Amino acid sequence: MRYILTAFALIGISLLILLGKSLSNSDLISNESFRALIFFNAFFIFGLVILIAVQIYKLFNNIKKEIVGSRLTLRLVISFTLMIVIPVSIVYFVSFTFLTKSIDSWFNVKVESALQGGLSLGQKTLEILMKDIELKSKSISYSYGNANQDDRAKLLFDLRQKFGISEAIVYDLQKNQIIEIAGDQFEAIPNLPSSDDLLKAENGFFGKIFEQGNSIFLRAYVPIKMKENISKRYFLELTQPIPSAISNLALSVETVFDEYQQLAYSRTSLKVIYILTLTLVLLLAILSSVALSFVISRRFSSPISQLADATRYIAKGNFKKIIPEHGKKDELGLLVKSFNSMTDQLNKATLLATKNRKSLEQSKAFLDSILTNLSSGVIVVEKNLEIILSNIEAYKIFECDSQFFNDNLNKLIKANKEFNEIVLFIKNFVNSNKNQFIEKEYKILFNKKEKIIRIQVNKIKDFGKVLFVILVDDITEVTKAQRHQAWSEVARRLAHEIKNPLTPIQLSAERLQMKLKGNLSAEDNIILNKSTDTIVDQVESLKVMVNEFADYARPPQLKKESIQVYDFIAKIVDLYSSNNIKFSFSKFNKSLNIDVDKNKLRQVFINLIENSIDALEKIKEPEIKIAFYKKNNLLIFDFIDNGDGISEDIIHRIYEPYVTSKVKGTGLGLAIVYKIIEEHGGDIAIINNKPRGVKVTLRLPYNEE
Amino acid sequence: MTVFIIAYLKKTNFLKVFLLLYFFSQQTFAGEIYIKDINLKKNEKNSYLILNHDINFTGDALMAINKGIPVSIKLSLQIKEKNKLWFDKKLFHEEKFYQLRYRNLLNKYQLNFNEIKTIYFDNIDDIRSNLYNLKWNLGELNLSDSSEIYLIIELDQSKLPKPLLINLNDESWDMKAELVKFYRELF
Repeated sequence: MRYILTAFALIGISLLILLGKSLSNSDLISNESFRALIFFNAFFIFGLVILIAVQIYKLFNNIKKEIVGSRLTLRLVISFTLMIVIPVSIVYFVSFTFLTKSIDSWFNVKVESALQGGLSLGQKTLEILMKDIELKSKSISYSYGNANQDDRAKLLFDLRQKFGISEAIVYDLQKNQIIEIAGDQFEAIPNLPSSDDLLKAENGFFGKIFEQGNSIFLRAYVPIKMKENISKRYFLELTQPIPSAISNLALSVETVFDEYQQLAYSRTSLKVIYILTLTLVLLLAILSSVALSFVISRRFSSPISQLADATRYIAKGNFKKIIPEHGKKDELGLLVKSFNSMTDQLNKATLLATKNRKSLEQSKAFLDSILTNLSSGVIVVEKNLEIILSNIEAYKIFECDSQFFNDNLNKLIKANKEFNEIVLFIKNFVNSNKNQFIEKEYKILFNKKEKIIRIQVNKIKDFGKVLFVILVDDITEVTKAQRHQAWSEVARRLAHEIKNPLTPIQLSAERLQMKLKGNLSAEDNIILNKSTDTIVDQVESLKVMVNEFADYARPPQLKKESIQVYDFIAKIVDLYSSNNIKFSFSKFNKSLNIDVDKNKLRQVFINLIENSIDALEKIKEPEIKIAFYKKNNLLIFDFIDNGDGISEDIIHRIYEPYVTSKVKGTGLGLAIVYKIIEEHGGDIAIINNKPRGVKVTLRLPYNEE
Repeated sequence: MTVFIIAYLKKTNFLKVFLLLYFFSQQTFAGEIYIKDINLKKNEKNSYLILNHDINFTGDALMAINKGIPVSIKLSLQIKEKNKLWFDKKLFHEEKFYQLRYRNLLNKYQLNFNEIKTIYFDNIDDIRSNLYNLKWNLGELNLSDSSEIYLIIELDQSKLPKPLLINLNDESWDMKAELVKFYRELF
């Protein structure tokens, strides 16, 4: 469209030039094509109007579609059009008035009178000259007619010269021939005069004026009366050129007069043609300029539209939008260049930011992964105990929801008061402004379970901001394991040191009894038997105790085999059938099998049942409920008695050696049970049952296969 | 409102010009050219077309001539050999002009043939009476019965001054006569 508009504008300018040239009567445009030029101009104007109408339609269509830059283009087009139309219209109306008045001023009475006067002067001059030649011709005719026949030729020559006549010819009309001729120069024999001319001359004289070349000639015809024969018809023809000065002046006056007459006759047409041309020029100028204004406006608005368009892209986060620069060196070109540079920098910065963000995310993910997989709890707090970082292990240790760890550490106290002491410890350190780190272990009784928690607080500075890193470790199991290990070592040493002398002691006591039997008095004999029996009994007791210690201290060595759980438990229960205790089974599946070290598991069940029997000694209707069932990948055993239960003081450490609620017993039974279950990969829980008794729950890993 | 606009427009010359144009466009004065007859004569070598025509200027055209505006008459002669199966064969084509002009200085009407021969007349009717037996040399032409003679005599508007040319609404300027005759009809 840009090229079409440019072509139209160029054609318009060409037509304007042609129109202007043709008006100045240039030979460039002939009369014939002038009319065509006018019509072509009109047609071209019509074409321009259509083109502009199409452009306006497209522009409004673009505005309706909200295409960026179309409104700016419209404003520019309106501005350009106003800039063109207003001054051109003023010039047009001034020119119009000036033109019509100028044309009217050409045709005033004075000019016409002057021209008429000039022409009349020329005509009068010619009349005078004609009168003069009439007199001359009549004089020559008379002299020629009255002269002797022989002298006539010389007389004609002399008179011609005397009167300054250029040509003198005598015709014999009867013979229809030239009889005398005198002149300055004759290139050819002159033609005979027309009969009309001679007929007119019959009355005495006939003169005519004619133009030949650029000169005016006078020609006179007069009859000659020859003295010898009056009846004969002779004519004299005289030709006299008008002096060139007069001739030129007269012709000039005539030319100007003719032109004036033409102009006067074409007065209306002149006005029409000039006004029409002026109007065409105006329309061509305005319409061509308006058509060009579309191109120029688009060129102006194009970079701005592209900028606006690109801005929208950038607003959406697309920094790859580059505006074509086209090598313009003006302010718009500079703006486009700067914009592209800015976009490029933004793009690079965004890429860098994205890279950094990814790197940061990776680091964070890495840190999260480390924190998540860390067995220790990590909490990072500010000075006001606001938690800014924590991991899962931390709120597992503190037995609370993760939401508490997105807030303030103080809220932990509100959630679980058991940890109040720990929070106070952290708080004191945070407020103390001490730079060294501190560490402390706490025994917390939470939900009737003893938890040993180790707290370590470090003060760090992160970009000038003081932060406190709290490391929390649940060392309950570690402590337990350490304690069990210590007990195992003690038990092993005890078993080793005590078991060896027991047999000689027992044998020595029995031998002493045997040797002295009968050698002593009855009274002494009674004392001896009583003493040796005591020694033997105590040694037996010690042996039992030492064996238990040995069992507790022995290294973990399982011999697993598949057992049918119900049968296995039923056989153990049969051992105690003589007791008046009621055994009842519930939630069991007879077909359940499990891989275990059956000897050790038997010891576990026996220990548990015997503990219950001991607890049920004074109970009227002693009962032990046994249940075993599968849950997830575990086989769960429940042993519930209806005894008095275990004191709350010792229940949380009932698995430790030498912790027992019984009067008799070594306190190693449950410790051994705990150890065997742990060796099987399971766990044990002992709680006081509601409304009474103790509930022991064993959980062993169970594999379907 | 319309009254005011019309009153305003009436004051402007522009409107007057167009009203005048409209007025003149409504005037009709028919000017005419008659081709009276044409004859063909042959001598030993050449053929000659003898043309008799009349011309009658009226209206604007007559007025323009009397004002001294020169008027050209174009005579166009074409002779073709008719061909039924193909394009006609052009045997002869020639244009001649004569110009009519009133000489204000001489008070005469001037008739100029092809800018060679000039004749002066006292009035325009004398010119009309002189437009007889115009001789057109056709040269050595072998004409047959199928030869067709096509003659156009018209007022050559292209030779008129530009201001007149743009405003030739008067019909008196539309002067044209055409004649088509076969060779055999000319005897």
